Amino acid sequence: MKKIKLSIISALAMITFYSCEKDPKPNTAPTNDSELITTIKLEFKDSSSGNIFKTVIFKDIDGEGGNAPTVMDSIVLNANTVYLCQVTLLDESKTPAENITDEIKNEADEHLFVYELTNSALQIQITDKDKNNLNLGIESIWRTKNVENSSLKLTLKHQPNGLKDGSASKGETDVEVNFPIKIK
Amino acid sequence: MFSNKKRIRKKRTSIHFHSSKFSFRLMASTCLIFLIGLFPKEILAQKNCQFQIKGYVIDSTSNERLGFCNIEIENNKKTVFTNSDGEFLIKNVCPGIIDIHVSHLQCEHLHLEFNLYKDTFIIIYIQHKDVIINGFKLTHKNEINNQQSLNNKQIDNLKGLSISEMFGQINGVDLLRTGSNISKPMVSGLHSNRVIIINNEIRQEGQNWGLEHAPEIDGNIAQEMVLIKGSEALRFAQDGIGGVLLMKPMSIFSERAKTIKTHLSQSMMSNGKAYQSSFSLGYKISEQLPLSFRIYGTIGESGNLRAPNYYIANTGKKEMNYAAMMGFNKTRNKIDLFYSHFNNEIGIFQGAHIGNLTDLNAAIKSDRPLVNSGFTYQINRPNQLVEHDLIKLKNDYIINSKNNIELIVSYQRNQRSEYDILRSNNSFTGPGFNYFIKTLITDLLWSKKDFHKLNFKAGIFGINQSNSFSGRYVVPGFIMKGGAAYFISHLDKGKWDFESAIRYDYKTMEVYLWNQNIMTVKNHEFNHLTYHLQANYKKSKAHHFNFTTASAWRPPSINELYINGLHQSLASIEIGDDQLKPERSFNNSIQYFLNHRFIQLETEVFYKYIHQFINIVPTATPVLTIRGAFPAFVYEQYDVQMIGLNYLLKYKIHENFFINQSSNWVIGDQFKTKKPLNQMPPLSSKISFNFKKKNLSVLFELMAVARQFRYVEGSDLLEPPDAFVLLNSQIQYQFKIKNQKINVSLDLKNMANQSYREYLNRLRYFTDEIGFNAILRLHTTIN
Repeated sequence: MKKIKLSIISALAMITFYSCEKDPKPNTAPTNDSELITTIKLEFKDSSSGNIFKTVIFKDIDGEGGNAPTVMDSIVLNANTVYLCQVTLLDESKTPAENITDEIKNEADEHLFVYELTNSALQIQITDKDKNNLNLGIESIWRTKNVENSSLKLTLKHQPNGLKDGSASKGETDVEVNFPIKIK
Repeated sequence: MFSNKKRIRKKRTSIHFHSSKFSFRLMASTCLIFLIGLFPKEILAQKNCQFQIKGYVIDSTSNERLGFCNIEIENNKKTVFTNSDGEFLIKNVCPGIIDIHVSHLQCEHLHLEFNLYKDTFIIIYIQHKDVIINGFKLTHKNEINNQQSLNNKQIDNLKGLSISEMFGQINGVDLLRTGSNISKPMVSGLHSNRVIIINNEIRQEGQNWGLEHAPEIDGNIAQEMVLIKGSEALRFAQDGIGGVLLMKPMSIFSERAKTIKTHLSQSMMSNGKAYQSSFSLGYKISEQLPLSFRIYGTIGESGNLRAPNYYIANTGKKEMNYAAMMGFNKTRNKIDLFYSHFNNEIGIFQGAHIGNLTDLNAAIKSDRPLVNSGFTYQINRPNQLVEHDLIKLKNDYIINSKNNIELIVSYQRNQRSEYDILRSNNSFTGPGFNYFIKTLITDLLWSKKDFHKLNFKAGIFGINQSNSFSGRYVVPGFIMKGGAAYFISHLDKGKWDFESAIRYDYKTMEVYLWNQNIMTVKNHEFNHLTYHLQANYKKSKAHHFNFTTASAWRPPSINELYINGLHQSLASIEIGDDQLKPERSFNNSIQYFLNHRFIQLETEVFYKYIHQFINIVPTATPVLTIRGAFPAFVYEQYDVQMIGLNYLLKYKIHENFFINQSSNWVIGDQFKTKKPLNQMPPLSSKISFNFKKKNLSVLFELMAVARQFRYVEGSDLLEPPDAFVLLNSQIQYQFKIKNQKINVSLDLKNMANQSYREYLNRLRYFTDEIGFNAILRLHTTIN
């Protein structure tokens, strides 16, 4: 019986030794990695006045899965007008919010914003380029025509390791958001 | 023969010498053989090599003489068998130190060492062994191997494969794969939380729920692998709804005193240019100080695997595992300490890492993976890094000839780090998430035999588990506590024998949920009864039947309750349900074993009814996220039924030539709607032609897998793949250099270099299975 006791003691010693580890506790809160994009912002400027006309937001604060997106704006524009549009991507799960757009600008030759419209109610033209003179798509010119509704699918493609050649189908999707468009 | 079923034990009583000028040493292993008397008798002093050793062997329990014992003098390779009266005679033995090796069916071995200088007469008392894992079965006379298992030799020919792939060689075990380098064992169409793996008597506890989480065990430690069918399974688990698989290393008590025993094995594979080296080194100090040690080590690496037409990007693997054992074996007490460390880094096929539903459809449509690759050993993201530590202390104490107590305390720590593809090169470099799961298990077992013709084992079991994570949320942290009591008994009635096991489990779980910086604690409580009843009928030496009815239950696992997140590899979002109830299975099966001179047959038919089976099903509407739409999956419960058939037929055509044929088939349906269950293994069949002569064996195998036609149409991203036939072969040769056995084998897999896809591979949507693979293995034991 002595030996049983002895082994129990050594077992307990073993366990104590092991539980000293620095693993997180079971009730530790999750932390979002710096990979998250929570918010996409479209800022429209009137091309003639240069004033900010409208800011349109799509926000999914905990990324994919979890809770549903909290803000899903529509794009409401005037007919027969020219707008300058600028895209901003943010990680608002952090304080202060992190601007992801800068990171994409730095790796412009690996990223591409793709603008797909359901009809020809308006025209969108990308105005910025990467170092290889391929489209980037953070900045664009929008030309509206008549009063008509449309929808925009805005995709951010990640095309690393020389994948980027101007084609929209390559690479992995980092962002894909549908915006309803109303032209008044 | 009930009387010879005894527990492992070794007893040393007084040893009598007529002329006590020589000594002998008992160098027993875990075996029951023990020697209680030695009566040397001077017969005649003779010249060199003219001595004889005479005696008989007695079964210590029944006091009957024991025939067919193998008695071998190691020094000069003389071997004799005891006759039906248990007597033996070895003639023409040279004087000097004699090393006698005694063995009998189901025993490891007993070594006797003594100085022979005259004719000697000895009586050897031996006792039968009861192998724990196989319950009471192994001690039957007229033994038929009615376990679905792999032995040491078979395992040697599988070195270099993962533990799952080794288990996959057992008839009745399928593999669920994620790509070509990650697999989990599947029994009767079930896997993950429904298949329990027992690693050296300890329940393997990791993040078992994940389909791409392979079991964290180094196969090089294995000496025996079994799919447990008997009541003994209940000792380890109440939740083996699919089955219980067991891996057992070589007993530390099989070391021989003052001898360093070394095993070396080396394997090389052409596909993936993989290599793996492993060794083990064992030593026992002496008979006076019966302290044994053994260490194991494995190191291996594999590069990108190749399908017939392309390399499969990022499918490399690196491993480094080690283990150490220590054993102390005194008359009544056996203590062993085991430690193992497992460390694997596994690449996950890049072409399956999908941004969203649009990307997924594009990847599925393409014939070839969208990510091209050449050969490299480098592992990139996505990948996983898995570490598993197990420490186990076991104390086996013999109270008396009928009572025995075992205490096992174990602690496991499992760390799994998963690295996703990064959106940007300059952002952070750590894993997306890290899981840590720590498990403490205590098992106290009392074995009693000959209690009113009943052998039984009664035990209590306690488990304490804590799960935590850092990084992104996938499943929450929790603390689980559980206790169980079980009673396993065995009754022998001549041609019939009966096994029964009953077990009661109680489990609580405290789960820590976070939502926007607010924590809520959820409590769960589960308890239930599990049973296993089995009748074994030995109609004759040739025909054995086993009839089983059993029930098991399983509480919903942490992912089924609380998972909420994206599965990058299949672009799907899984959502748990905290209202799920435990599931409960009722299993009925008949096994039949035929052991004829030319034909051996093992068959099993089963019918399983699972109440409140927890299944993952797609929802009608996809989930909208900033990354686009994702198909969503939720958990549902309904009753299901499963019917299955396994058989293995061995047909001996000639002394040197035999044919093996085996088939497995399982079908599963929802009980009410009769809709088939998805992800069931398709019908598969194997036939192999084996030639064996002396040290050479050659095998040629045809493996056919049918198309799975039973699935719910429209429920899968892609229809099940076509049927395929594979050609494999193996040549094996054993030889000796300087008295050391060397075993060489060459395996040729998928000899026709055929392109095919397997239904049970979760990455079948994206890539073919691997092509031709040649595996060269070298194995040697140095004494």
